[in-house]
Amino acid sequence: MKKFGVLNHKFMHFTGWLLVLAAANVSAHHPIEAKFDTANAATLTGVVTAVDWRNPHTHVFMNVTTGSVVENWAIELESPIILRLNGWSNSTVQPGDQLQVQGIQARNGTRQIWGETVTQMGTGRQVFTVTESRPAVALSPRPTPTWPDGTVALGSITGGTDGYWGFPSETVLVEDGVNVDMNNDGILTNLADASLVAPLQPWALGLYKNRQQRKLQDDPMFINCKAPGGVRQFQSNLGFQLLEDKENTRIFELIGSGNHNYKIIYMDGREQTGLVGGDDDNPLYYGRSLAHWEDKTLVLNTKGFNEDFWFTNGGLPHSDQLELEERFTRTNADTLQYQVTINDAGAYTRAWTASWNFQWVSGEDLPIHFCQNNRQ
Amino acid sequence: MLQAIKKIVGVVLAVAFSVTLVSTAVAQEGHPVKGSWIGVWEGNAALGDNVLLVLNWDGEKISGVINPGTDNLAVSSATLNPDDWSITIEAGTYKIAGKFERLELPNRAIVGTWSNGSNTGKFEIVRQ
Repeated sequence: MKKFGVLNHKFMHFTGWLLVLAAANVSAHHPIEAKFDTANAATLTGVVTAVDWRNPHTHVFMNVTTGSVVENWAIELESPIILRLNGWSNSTVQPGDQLQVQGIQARNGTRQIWGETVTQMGTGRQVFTVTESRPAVALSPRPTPTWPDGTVALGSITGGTDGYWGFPSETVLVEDGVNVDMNNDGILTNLADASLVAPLQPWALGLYKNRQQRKLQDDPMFINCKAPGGVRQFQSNLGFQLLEDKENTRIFELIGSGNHNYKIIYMDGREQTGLVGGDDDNPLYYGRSLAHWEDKTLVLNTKGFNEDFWFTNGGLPHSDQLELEERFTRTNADTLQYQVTINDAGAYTRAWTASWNFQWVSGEDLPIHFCQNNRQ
Repeated sequence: MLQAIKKIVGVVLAVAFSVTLVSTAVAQEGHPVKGSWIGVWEGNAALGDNVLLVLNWDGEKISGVINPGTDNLAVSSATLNPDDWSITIEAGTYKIAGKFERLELPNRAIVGTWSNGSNTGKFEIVRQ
């Protein structure tokens, strides 16, 4: 029986808690602007024909009658995970219900609309509203939990409750110290700021601009369910868990935003096998990670990435020379500081660094999320 | 009867799988030139109309080979202009000038012209 950082035990006593609910922008599973045109608003009234309650986005289908013509529209909504957290279910609306939907229409002219407000005609009740609430924040920071040997615990410890790291303070990748305006998906307000985001090589800057101009609609994580490799797994509210297998000197990282993907972080002193050019036979979405402790900071070195995915929200390119140095510091029980240095001579002119924090989500396991092909 | 149905289903699945294999380009989200490219340089009497390129990017320069294993021509120089996604490739006495099309897709294309001395023609390759 291996000794993992135990998930299913009481974590520690909670004292001095203040419930702070912070409304925040919900992280969609694809940039809304990629598919829908914010300048093309519409209001539709119709009768529900079906509800497709599946990730990454819920769809409600509705017959809309105009004169003698009846057309079936797809109303796209947030993911079932987010809707469920806000108290909605697959039976909130049912076939036969009459709805009024206000939203923005699909860029490609198909009968699809992003539902900004959905109202049941009979009752006037607004449904599928979303207000994301962050977990409770401690009034005074609780101390960083440690193992009996004094080392920092990166997740739950024996006797603790379930939990995971989520709610990153940043969902985009921008070099530390740079101030550019972009939304939570990484779409720049001003394309002219593209060169400021990171020290991109000319080809990478051109490709980044191209992706930005296309509103990230080619994102392979969205259209092909590619894995959230690189730093992308750390940009999602779906979070991650770090399970310490001390007996075998390794850590399992369970990734909430992939299809229950995980990676192993080796701490046994082995040599880094991720080669420049990738591990020739099998370059990876999550690379190969080795780690060690520097005082109370876990330091990861990861390389051996393939080029089949976007390594960050927002569409910054990378090459197979990508090497990450990631530093995790649990500053208190509920805060994990994250700093990543991107070293990729194939796409950037120098190494650069970005950082953000995660919040401990206590008492919960990772949300269950499976990506489904979303080309349509 | 059951065996016959199984056989038919198996054949159909095999054909579908084969079609998928030959029609799907491998994803490539890094440098746009990287990968294998197949297409034509029309009117090339010396080497034939069909052409295959294998191109790479090492962080500093584009390298590669034209028609590996048959009429090997090492790429001696290549430049990419990301402002308009135009590309030039030189290999031996051949010069190719083209532009990217469908940049965002795995099966992107380079379309332009080839020349070798006074010989010239249309050039078009698609990434595999």
